[in-house]
Amino acid sequence: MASSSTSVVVSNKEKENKNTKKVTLKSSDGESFEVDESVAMESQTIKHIIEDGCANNEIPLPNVTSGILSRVIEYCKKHKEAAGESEPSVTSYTSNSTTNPLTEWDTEFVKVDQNTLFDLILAANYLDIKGLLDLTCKTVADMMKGKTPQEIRETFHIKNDYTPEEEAEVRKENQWAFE
Amino acid sequence: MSEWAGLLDLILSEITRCISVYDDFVIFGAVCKSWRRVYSMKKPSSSPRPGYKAWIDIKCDSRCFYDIALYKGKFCAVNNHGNVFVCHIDGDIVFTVCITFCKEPEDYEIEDVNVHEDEFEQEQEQEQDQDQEQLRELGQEHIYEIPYVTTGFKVLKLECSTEVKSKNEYDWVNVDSLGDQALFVGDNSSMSLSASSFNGCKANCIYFTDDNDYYLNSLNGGGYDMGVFSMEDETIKQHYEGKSLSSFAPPVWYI
Repeated sequence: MASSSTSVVVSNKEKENKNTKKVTLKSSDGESFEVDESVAMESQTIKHIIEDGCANNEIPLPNVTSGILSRVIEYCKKHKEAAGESEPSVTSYTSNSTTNPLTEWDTEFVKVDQNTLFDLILAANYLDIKGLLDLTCKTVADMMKGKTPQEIRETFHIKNDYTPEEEAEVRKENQWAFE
Repeated sequence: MSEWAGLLDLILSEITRCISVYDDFVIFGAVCKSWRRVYSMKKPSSSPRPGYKAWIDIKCDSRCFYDIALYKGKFCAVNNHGNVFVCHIDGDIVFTVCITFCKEPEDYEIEDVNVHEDEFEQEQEQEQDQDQEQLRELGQEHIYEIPYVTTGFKVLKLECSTEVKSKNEYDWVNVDSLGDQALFVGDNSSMSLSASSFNGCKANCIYFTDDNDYYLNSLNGGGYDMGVFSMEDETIKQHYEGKSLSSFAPPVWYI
């Protein structure tokens, strides 16, 4: 007589609690990064993908290289830790606060070459990470402080596309600012 | 095109939000055409409006205003000809109306508009170009450095016109005494105080600082032409011993 046995397989997913749930992000150059879902959801873009049920196993990020993605993940991890175990929500804006302990960390974080800074801005915008966008934009604004238009062009390798007449017109409009 | 020049308008706009000094914002708009596009979208217009956080451009026939005051909830300004303009806000439209025309006496120059108690007053300041003889009498060493000095004030009050056929709704009327008030005038905004409320402040006097733009051309700058004018005896005394001269920032009132 055959006896039957029943085995119960409990899915790992059912056992996992939300805080340790992972998600895999794939960079434009094919590298995969496994991160806590709560960290990944510092990005509003990723948050919407997950919530819309489109995540599957991997989330491709064709606009972000592995080098930049690893930095972005580092930022999100650090800021998620600082925010504690609270529900993933809009990233707290920390870069300007002098009383926030993350200010120093943020300052070091953006001490990068110009190309990296540029890519971080684009990534922050694409991934919709408010704190990172604010931090990187403030860094750019600080780089422009007190400079003349020509000095800014040189700093950022921007070509002067004004004709001499147009440039004279621009200067005339706010003469005092150019002195 | 450089990557930075090609940044999305949205991102450039975020960057401008982080610029705290207006000069730097203007410079941003001069870097290249794409940045200028974002600058043009974000630059403020010309005038503040109560409750609003943006500047509003106000159309006005006059361009050279000497002083502005808030009087009974409206901005009032006096120009270099003694004409007073009142700023009206009608929904989203802001405009000015000239409420009085003033024929200034030849040797007087409009100084300031001032609001105190319920009156609206104007001072006219008399300045004379001093010739070298007079300056020698004053005991100045470097007489070529002092091209002007204030010799008197005339105070006028704005009152409703009593003349039937007057084209003005308001007229300027001479004021002989300021009573308990002391007026403070000069290169910055004017104001009046009750002298009895401030120890050391004399009633019925005009405290003035140098406001003649000529100092921009003079050797040591402005700051010579300052003092306290008494309405009672029409004399001028010095505020303090010594000089405070500057080519770009002679003394102003900070009250």
